[in-house]
Amino acid sequence: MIKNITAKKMTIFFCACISLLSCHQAFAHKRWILASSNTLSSTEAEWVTFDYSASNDIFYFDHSMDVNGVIATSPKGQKIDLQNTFKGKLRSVFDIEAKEAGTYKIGTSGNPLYFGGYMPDGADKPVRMRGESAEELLSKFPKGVKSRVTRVLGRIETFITKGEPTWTALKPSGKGLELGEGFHPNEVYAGESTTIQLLLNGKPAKNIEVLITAESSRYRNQLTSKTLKTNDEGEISYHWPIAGRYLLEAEHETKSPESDITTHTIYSYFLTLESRLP
Amino acid sequence: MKNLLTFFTISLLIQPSFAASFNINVSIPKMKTAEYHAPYVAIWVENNESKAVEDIAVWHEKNKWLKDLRTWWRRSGRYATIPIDGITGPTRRPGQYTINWNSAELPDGNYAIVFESVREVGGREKIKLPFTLPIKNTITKSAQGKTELGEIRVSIEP
Repeated sequence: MIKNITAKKMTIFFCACISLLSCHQAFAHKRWILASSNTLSSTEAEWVTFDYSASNDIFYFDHSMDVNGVIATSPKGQKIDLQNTFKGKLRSVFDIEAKEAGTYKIGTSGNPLYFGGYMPDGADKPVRMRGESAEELLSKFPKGVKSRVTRVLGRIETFITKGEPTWTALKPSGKGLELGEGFHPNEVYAGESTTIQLLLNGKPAKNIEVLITAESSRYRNQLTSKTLKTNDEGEISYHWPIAGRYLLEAEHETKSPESDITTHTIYSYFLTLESRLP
Repeated sequence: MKNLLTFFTISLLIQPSFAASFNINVSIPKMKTAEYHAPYVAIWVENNESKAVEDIAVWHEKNKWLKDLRTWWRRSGRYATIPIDGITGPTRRPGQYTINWNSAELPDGNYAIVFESVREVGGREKIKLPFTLPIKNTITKSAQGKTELGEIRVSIEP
């Protein structure tokens, strides 16, 4: 497990979060799944391809991501196969064949991952590792060292719709940061406003910062992300200035109770969406 | 069906039907271009809330590209089963086309006929011609497209 994780990869996932003593603020890179098309009108099956990468510029490949972590859910709520998967250095790619009409979710599972580290005696850098459970990590740490384990619940998602938008694939899971009900990511149009609710473990994600960044940031002097804060209902309102693809991201961190095996939980949510011409 | 029944019932009870006849003329302009594909065109009626209330015509080739008629797809196409009887049909080459339509199914109110045209390796253009029901005297409305549509003329007779 430890061998599989390169230092670079660790950096992407939780750059600052491992620092043993100081508190972590933000992930180093934005992560995204970008569809070749979010709106489909075929009556037969139609192929859609996806790029999956992490980068600072939106949407330009920088670090490939693990395709095995992606689940595609059909409009009826069934898991469908990713095909032609490929992992390069800068991006990962997969296709899906959209047969049913309705809305598909393409995203990571949202299951927790655990990142940990300990400071060996006399060392000036911590040893870092990641695992599926906190216990697994702790069992690998030498006895009596200063250590910490952080739980990370992250989601990276996009939605595509063939024909009429449907809601089954959008049903919240109640775990981590995710979209609430009432907002459909394939119902976004330039020049119009939408209200988007975020949930944290099934409850309105109050007072959380949400960043919205339009594509083609490479060709602007500024990233020009719009920073919004959710209200008591966990909602933000955003007026989509122009047609194009956008990345919506939110992060939240909570301190674990004393009894918990982890020190913190970091929640993150990344949603790629398209604002269409009205 | 239920809505239709309700409508007819209301029509009988309250309002004698004043269906207006629409003579719609659309021209598809000639393009000076090496690669020419006939445009996909949608013509429909929207109410004063931009809701599509009736499709008049959709000229297209492949369903895959119907979504490029972006407004029509949003307002009507994605809710329909393609092909739509009497509405969808093949694309038309440059020239003038006439469609006769009747507003029998619409209650009084403010509407617009919307024309949307989109062409492969070309552009997209949308024109709206507003009208109000009932119609008392014959009127003619027209507009001149700039890119993907030519002259549009609609004569409405009570």
